[in-house]
Amino acid sequence: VEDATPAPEGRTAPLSRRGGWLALLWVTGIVLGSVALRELGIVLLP
Amino acid sequence: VRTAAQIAELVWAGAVPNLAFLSIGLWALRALLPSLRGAERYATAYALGAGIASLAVLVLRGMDVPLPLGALALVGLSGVPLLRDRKASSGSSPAPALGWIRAVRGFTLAIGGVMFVAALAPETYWDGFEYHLPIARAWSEGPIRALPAMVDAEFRAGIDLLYVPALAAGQPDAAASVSACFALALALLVGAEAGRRASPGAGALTALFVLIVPLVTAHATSSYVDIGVGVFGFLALLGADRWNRSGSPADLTHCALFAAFAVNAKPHAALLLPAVAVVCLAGGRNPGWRAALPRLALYAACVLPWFVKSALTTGNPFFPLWSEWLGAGASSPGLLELRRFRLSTDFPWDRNPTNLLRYLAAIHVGGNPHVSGLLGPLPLALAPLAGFRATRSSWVLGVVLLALFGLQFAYMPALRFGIPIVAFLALAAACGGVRLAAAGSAHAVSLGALLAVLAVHQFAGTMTHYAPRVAALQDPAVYSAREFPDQVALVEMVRRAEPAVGIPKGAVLWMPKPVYNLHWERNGELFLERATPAAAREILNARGVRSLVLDVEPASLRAGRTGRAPVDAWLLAGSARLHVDSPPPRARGSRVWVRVDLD
Repeated sequence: VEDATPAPEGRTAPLSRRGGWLALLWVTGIVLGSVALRELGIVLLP
Repeated sequence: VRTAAQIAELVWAGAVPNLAFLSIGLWALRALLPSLRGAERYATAYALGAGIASLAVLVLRGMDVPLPLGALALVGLSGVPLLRDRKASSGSSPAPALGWIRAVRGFTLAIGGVMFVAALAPETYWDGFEYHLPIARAWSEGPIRALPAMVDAEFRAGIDLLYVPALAAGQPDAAASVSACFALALALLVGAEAGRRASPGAGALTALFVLIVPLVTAHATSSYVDIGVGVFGFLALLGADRWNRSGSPADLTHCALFAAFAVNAKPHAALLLPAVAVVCLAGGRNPGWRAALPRLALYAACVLPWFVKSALTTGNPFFPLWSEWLGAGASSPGLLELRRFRLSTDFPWDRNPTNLLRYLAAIHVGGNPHVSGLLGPLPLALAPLAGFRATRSSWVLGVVLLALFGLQFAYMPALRFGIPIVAFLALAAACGGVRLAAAGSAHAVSLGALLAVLAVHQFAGTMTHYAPRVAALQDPAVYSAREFPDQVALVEMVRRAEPAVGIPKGAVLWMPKPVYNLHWERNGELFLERATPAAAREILNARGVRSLVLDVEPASLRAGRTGRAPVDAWLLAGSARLHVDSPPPRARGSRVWVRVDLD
């Protein structure tokens, strides 16, 4: 049955400890940065 | 102000056609893909039913067969025995979901409910009231036919046809409920796939964010057809990818059907056929002619009715392609070239690598230069973390999606055209999120907190958009006047003009008399600003246009001009007369409305 065969992308290759912290920094910057830009009404690329 | 009974009639006109589509889809799914379960089963059934129903409406309205809501209600009722998935309830049930996952799923469905109600407010998007709904209204009042000076009726309109029952019932505000149902289906489908590829929790969160991302919020309550095309396109590409992973012929059938439904709804979706062919041929499981040919025949059978329709209404089955040789009906053979140029102006910069990066940034955190809501930050934040240890099928799919994205950037940069691609970006983001959360408990907690902040922010944006629309159920006129006071003023001007009335692009649906849209992109035959006075007058005379209502700069008006060269030439020659109210009603910006009577 096709749906019992999940693609494995999300379940393999865990991030290293250092890579995890860097990734968290990246995600935090993008998410909070975008929320702040919206709330402040700043348009980077009009 | 609507009474409770009138609101109930509106809700009925919105709900019944969609329930009929779901019912048709449940019956079809039982034969085609019985293995689907849960929310994904309902979402796929809805999309399948909508695609089949669209073809049925094309045939039935082509023969002027009425489509009363009562008959559709019976179709809807016929699906009740299939609502409960008996196989799922009799087989081994999956482990119950965690409490927070159930809560996120419930919240997502609740937002879907609010979205459905918000979709019942008056259409206030340009393309919606300018041609999507007027075309559906024309085809509900008479058989499917060529509509003079309404060139959009000559393109594929598979999703527009789904609006016909609501318009036939005299409820144009109910039409966009189809978009809301497609949006919920998109969220559930992408969420289900994310649940498989990443984790059940990631799947639930993906469905939630798909539903509240500005791109979807902006279109789910309008009669724009892009979310529906996005659902069809996503399912076609997903079917091809599933074929590579499963080898089940049902997935190829599923792929062929949805690729056909997509092109029936929008011509550029013809690109899906080569796209899914590459995914199937290079993805590691070549289907061979024996499996491919019947699906190609199915695809051809599903798209054929629209070729017949085009041949009947324009003389060119491939309209607007090859119009120079095969004809373009009443429209200009140069229309396609003009439209291609016009689409490229959505992002009016050179197409080079630097501007590709600017485009990518713009659709995430920029302004809105191309009439679409934005993607939000999650694809940019999480998709790059998805890793590169993908299967061959996923690699091939990724390359095909990149090629499609390149074409979108080059020719049709409005983000709404890329919803099938964006849906896969959401899957990548889900996989990236799971990888990040797996790096440690601190990472998982931090990511959860960030997602909560973003969810609150995007939910607030969604509700800010929906709340006035929900309130508009009771008093739609007040809402319309607040959203488009210039169009309400235009309605009053048209009411006093002699029909047919030429108007510069506007809310054709709202007009109380027959109108002629002077915008070339809509009429397909007259570029007023570029035409000679004689040629423009000839076309307008042929269409029975007796007056024009134009928006004019006050400075031009003081000089007795309208700013449109052919019209000013008629005024000078005395073959037209200018009427200005005192004070003249306000159009957009500093412009004012004036009337020109054609002698």
